Amino acid sequence: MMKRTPLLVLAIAIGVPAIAGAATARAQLQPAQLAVGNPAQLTITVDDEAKPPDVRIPDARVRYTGQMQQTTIVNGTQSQALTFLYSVVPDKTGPLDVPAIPVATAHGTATTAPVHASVANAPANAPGNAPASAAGGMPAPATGRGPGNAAATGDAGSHAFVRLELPKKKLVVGEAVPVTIRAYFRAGTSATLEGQPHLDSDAFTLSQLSDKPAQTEVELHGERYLQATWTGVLSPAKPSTLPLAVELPVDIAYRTHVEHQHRTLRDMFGSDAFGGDPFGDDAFADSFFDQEDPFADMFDDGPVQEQHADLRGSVGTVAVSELPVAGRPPGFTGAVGTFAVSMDAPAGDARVGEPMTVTMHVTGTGNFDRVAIGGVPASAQLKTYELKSAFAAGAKPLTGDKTFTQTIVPTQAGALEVPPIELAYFDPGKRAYVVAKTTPVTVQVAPGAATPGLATTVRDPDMVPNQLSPGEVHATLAPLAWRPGFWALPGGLLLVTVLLAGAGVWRRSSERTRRANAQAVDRVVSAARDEMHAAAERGDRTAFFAAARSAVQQRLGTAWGIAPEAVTTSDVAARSPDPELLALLEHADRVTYAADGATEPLDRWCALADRQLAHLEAA
Amino acid sequence: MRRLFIALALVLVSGVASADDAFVAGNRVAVAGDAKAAAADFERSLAHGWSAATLFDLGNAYATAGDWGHSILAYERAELLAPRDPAIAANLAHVRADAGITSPPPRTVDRTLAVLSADEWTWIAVGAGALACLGLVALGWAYRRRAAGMLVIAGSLAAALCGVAAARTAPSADSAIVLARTEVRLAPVATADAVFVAPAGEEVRLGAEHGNFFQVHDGDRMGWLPRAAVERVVPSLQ
Repeated sequence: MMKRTPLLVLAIAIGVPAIAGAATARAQLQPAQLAVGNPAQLTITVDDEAKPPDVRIPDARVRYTGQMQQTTIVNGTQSQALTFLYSVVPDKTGPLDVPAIPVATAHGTATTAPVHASVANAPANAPGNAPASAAGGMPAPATGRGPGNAAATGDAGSHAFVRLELPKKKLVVGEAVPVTIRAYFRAGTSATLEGQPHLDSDAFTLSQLSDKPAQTEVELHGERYLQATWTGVLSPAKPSTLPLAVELPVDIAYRTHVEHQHRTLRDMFGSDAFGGDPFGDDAFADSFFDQEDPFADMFDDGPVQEQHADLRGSVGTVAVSELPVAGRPPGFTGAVGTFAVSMDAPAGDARVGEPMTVTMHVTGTGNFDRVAIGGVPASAQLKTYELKSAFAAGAKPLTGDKTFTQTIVPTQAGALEVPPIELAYFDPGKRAYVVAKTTPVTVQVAPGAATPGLATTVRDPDMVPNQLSPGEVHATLAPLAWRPGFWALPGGLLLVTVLLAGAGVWRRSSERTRRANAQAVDRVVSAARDEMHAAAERGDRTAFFAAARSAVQQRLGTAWGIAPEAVTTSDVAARSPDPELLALLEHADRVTYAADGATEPLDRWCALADRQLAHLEAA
Repeated sequence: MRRLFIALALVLVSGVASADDAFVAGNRVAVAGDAKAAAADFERSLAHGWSAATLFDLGNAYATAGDWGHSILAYERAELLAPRDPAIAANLAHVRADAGITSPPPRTVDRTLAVLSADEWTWIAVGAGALACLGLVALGWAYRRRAAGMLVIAGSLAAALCGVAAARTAPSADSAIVLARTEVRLAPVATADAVFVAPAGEEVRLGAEHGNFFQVHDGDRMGWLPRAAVERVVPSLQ
């Protein structure tokens, strides 16, 4: 027996592409054809963490209405997308250009592409709506189940349908009511959501839609369905009396049913399934094998049908009336619901110049996004700062606690009365405006410190107040490197370095030259002395005195800085009148030029010459 | 000559005195709650020279008046003079958040280099260069050649690295702050289509100039802004 396991597939995926890397942002305006005064919905989808961007569109009023977070898992890769919703109401006909909108994300700024639409005059009658629960122009597939062909996206009995649940059908503009959207998919139907549920009318906005639908299995008319439930907030944007429907784009796939004849397990296994009667209990065997195939109804085994459908569920006609003008309080900001306002005692040191925090709470049920209060007004007794608000949603839809905090700074000592705070709202149950008030609070303010009032130099007490000393004054904000005068310092330093280092190099080079010259002279003198001694041994007077004079000329020429050949006996007599040296040179002149015939030994002259040369070398 | 010196001294003294007077007057009206008058007084004080404290107080005054663009510009300028002042950084971050200005977090290397200002890095580079010069002179005179050679190499390397750090931490000459929320246009004419909207306090890079318009770059976006809508962070290059 082939074992089959019941398989119910419901793949719900929001059509958001998974994009890795840099964040991207997309803007979409629906519908593309707009009408003056009729609100449209602008959605900005970012695949990263982000804050709602500030959107301004020329010739249109823009209001932020909420945000949605969506998670997609594709092949095990999870990606998230954040969608911000805005209500856009065009003010005039013609083209409407939504500019590129920068969205600051956790990984940089992503910018949407501009969106262009056209605005026409508002039609005399709002566009009609399709009948409730009709398939969006989709051909009804054959299911083969029962007589006739049931619509694939009709109501109960079909493969998929959607319902919209609204608590009441008479609303006022701006009122917010919780709505529930339920989509049903028959067991065995595979469905992929192509987007979030949306309304078919631009006279309403749908916000705070749950990120993911809650899924549960239900039974309707004997059929098992998987029920996907979204909750959200519906708010009418203009007065109208129109049918209201919700649409859900979805791709579904299911197997068409093939009619089987009634069969029993005996038909499947044969009349003798076990080749006899193993238990010998005929009554049990008959009752077991004669029962119907228990899995026959769980599976459709025909071909798979795949199709796209816009499921549509209508709630009927909804009447929306304008808020009455008569009796509208001056501080009314559009809050509709039932609210209560209270004020805590100011927290902080009640002292002149010291900031205190006043906390006000608005609780109740309604459109908290339109709830606003004026805060504590400034007076001669106190300075006030900007009001800040935070909202904590309650357990039920549209309930919560909106907290307003404001910093006040007393400027006078004594009894300080914080005046009552008012909240004006429209109560749809009473169909009348209501002004709720807090009770006034009195605080005893002590005198301040020696320098009161410095806190008033900043717009927020969290900021650091003014400095009271101007400190050092600079001629320019330009960095050092940008100032031409600065480069004189490193330039001068470099110049001095070059000069000093060059002087060192020149000095060392001169020293080397001088040493080389001295060594050359030493070599020449040494050679002359060798020649002198050799001539003395030979008794060659002419050669002896020529060598002696040459050696003396080398030494004196080097010492005097002139050519050795230019040194004469008369120069020596004038500049270095050493008698022995003069005698040696004069005798050398006589031997060289007069050819004296003296034969005296050269030893005395040789010793004299050595002594004089040693003396000159030492000098 | 003596008269000229006395006249010059009087001018200098009067300049300092009026700067201080304007600073004190600015704080007086700021305490009294008149932020716009305080801003005017602080601007008058800055006409005599740049002071981090005056710029800081100016930023506070503009912030109190709700003028995000001028406030952020003043804080940015104050940060140039006192880059490690936590009060300036705190108020700048506060006003940026209030103005909805976001900027990507600085890279690790930039965060590390920011411990010193561009001028401080420059002075260190000059000092290291001076050591390298000293080594060069010693080499020229053949004095302790090995040590002198090491000094030249180390000094040159340090000077080069500190020079790079100074260039990296220095403000860009093209950096400017958008003073008020302005539409950035496709072309340098007032009737051109808007490309995007630059919020007040947004830091942009200035490019080419054409008539009364600056070409500005804001991240990947580019367009033209009227001259009056932006102001350079370092004004001396204007």
